Amino acid sequence: MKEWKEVLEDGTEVVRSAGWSAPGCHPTACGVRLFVKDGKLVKVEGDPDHPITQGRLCVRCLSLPEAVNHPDRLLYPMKRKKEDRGKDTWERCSWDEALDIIKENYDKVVEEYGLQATVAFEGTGRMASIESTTAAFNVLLSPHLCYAFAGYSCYGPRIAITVFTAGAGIPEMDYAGGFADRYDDPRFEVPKYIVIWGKEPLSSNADGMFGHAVTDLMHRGAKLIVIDPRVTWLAAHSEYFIQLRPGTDTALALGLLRVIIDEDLYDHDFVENWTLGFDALKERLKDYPVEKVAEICDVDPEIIRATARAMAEHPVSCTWGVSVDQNKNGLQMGQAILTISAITGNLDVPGGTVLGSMLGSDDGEGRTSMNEDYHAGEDMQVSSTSGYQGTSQAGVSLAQIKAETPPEIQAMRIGSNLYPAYDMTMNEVQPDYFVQCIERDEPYPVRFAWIQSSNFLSPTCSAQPDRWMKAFKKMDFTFATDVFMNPTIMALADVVLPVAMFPEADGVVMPQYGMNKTSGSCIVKALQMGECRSDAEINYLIGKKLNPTAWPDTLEEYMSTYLDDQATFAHTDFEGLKKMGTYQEPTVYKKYEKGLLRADGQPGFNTTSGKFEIKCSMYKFFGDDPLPYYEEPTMSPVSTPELFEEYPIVLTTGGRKFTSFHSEHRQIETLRNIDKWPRLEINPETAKKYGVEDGAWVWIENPHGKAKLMAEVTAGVKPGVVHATHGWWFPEQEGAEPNLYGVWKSNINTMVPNLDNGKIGFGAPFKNVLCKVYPAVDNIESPEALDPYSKRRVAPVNKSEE
Amino acid sequence: MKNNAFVIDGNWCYGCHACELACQMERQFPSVDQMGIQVAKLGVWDYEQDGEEKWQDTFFAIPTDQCNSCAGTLKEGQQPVCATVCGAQALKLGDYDELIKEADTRRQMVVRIA
Repeated sequence: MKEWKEVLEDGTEVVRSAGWSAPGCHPTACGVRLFVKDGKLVKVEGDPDHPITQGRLCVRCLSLPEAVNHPDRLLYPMKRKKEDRGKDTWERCSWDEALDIIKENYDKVVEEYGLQATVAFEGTGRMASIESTTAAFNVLLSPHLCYAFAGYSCYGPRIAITVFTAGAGIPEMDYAGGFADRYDDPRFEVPKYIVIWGKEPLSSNADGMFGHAVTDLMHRGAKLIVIDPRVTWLAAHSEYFIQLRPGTDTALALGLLRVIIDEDLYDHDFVENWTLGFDALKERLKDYPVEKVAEICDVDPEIIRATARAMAEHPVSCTWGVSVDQNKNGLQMGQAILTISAITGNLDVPGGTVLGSMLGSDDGEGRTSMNEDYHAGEDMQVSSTSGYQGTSQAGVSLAQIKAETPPEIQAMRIGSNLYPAYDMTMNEVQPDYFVQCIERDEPYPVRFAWIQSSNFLSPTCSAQPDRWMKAFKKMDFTFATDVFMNPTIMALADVVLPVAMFPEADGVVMPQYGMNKTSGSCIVKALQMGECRSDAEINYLIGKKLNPTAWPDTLEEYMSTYLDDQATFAHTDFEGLKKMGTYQEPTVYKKYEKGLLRADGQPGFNTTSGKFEIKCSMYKFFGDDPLPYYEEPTMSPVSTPELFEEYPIVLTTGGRKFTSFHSEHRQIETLRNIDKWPRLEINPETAKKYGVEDGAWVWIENPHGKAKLMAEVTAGVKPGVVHATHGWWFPEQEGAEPNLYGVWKSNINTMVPNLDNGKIGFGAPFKNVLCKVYPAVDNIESPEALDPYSKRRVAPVNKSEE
Repeated sequence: MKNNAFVIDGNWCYGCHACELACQMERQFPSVDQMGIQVAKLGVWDYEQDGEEKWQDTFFAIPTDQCNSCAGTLKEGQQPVCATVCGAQALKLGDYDELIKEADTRRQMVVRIA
């Protein structure tokens, strides 16, 4: 589509835009043509002129009209009495009244307890996620931004380890996204192999990388190396497939490194000139002979050797998934995976693993360069613009807001002394610890919360969500911003504000939130639904209400500057980007040779030593081993053999479906028709052993909790391993407590313990706990609702409570 | 040229259901159970071939009796929505005699719809 808007003969407007959630996806920016007739979204087509997606769309965008026009949409602000939390007694109110209620309660809590008693909660993936730092630090003036994901087990660990080792932005496989003629550009090379580690990019478009780029490259001759406990379609079509035991990835990565070094397959020039700690790694790898690693991972040693040899070829591209994050040993896993790319000479080369730059925008306004905060030496300071948000799309337009969390309040952030690495890289509170602080009012009470696009009671992110629910009931006031009513809002909020879906908002979308720039696209408002507002507009409205003098005079003024600021990456303003549609930034390879990774413009990596740090200097500040090491999952056949007798199956969770984005889309009939129920993938042999039939309802249970799912008997998982899908709740069921849209029925996160993180606070065992499986007598539609407070049979094991 | 057949490429289809939905949106069937094309799956199972472990995990998107090849709505050379949305580029509408010549690799099917 060449123009941003065209009008058809029958008056239908066709608007060119780009996809993001809500609803749908990561910031993948799929090119869409939105057909709007009489103010109503009637159809969506893929935009064939979009350079990355080229007209292709998945079911989540194709069903967009059903989501936008859904009768259950939140279209107006609603309020409810505090004592009615959990009851469906919502009343429509005006924006003015909703803002008045928010201000009244905010002022009361701040007066009684201080600014430190406030918190903003963010979710994942949505447009809201680039607004969350502003919400916490410039609207609420709080020290607390919290992503309720235990151990920040999505993206955070990968961001952190990339900063620690390379001082760079998140790495991604090279899919020629920055080149106008894409794969045909002479600067690009088709990878010989693409390593897909703990990831299913076809269904997830994880982190904004268009997943179909993998098949594009397969069409052009790339072969796959897949590392996954499940047989995904990509695994079945790979050259090398390592089907490892869930949670043992770090051991595997160390085994691969051992082969690469033992067989002298590494790039001597790169190792000599650009790395720190190679000899120390060599020494460490003496602990990881291939036969031992094979035994840990439950795979054939020969497949490890063969895969290592393939990974040492050129060029080899690597894309790593959320499995790196959902593992307490994940930082070490990420460190080892990056080291494989680095020492094989595949880092930041054409067709290799491309690094993002952390230098931010050209003018740097509103952003800080991470290296100055992180690698300054002993005196590491945290400012409200540090953290990865400081270099992504978040916080881009802060200059026009004259309010931020006062330094003395910022210094009160809960847990920053216990989790300094987490505090500095994510600029957030560590959630596993934070929930405990809310429960106990320690070190001080937290009483005012904003839940910004996060449905954390459904099994998406929080570990032991039942515990979160109980803690949250203590809030004096909670408000939420979202597109649909959901179990979290129904149980916890006093006011809810309606958020615009992406066809109803102006904005800018960039893969990896701008941290590994290849392209960015314009999101164009095509219609208005009810009184919905975009997340950026909501920040303004609440910010202006709470601190009138700190914000621009009008919403229009704020938004116009905000949108222009978001468009600066494309060297234009918002109107310019709207005309452009998608801006591509040609990838520059070997940035470390060209001074493009460091703020001082010198060659090298943005680390203390200036080298790629195989042995991380940063860890001396954090108190963890500077070299990668393997650690067994806390609950596993090896570490808890007695527990394994009663719970003899390894449970892994969260594999993606095309039909949902985490807990989104459960009310979209067309998509529910494809994936109706939460599924438990179980091997035929294991199913037979426990009397489980295909399509039957089964319970999975462990000492922490239990959940009911529908069995899918498949050879796609190994005997003794089951995989459970996540994000399930049932919008068609009773919303009021205790049923709460059935959120406790298939809540697999009740089985994941809180505070089972790595040494410095990252990672949690969403992909590796134990369970038992047994047939259920009734189905999911039965009236039975679990009581989330009493179902735990055994007290959970918590590090800090021991 | 007649649009009387589809090449369905089982090498590339990975079962994302986009063709089904695009067709449903285009044709506005009375129920979400109805569609002009539907994805079928073979597998998953593993087998040994030349000493190597292989996996059968294959999808085919097959036109239903309700497929009308979008007759009358396509411009010259234009592909129907099921084919244009396909991320894996596994579908192509065209003339049977032409398509049968193109479909020369394993796991490709040519299905006549008229």
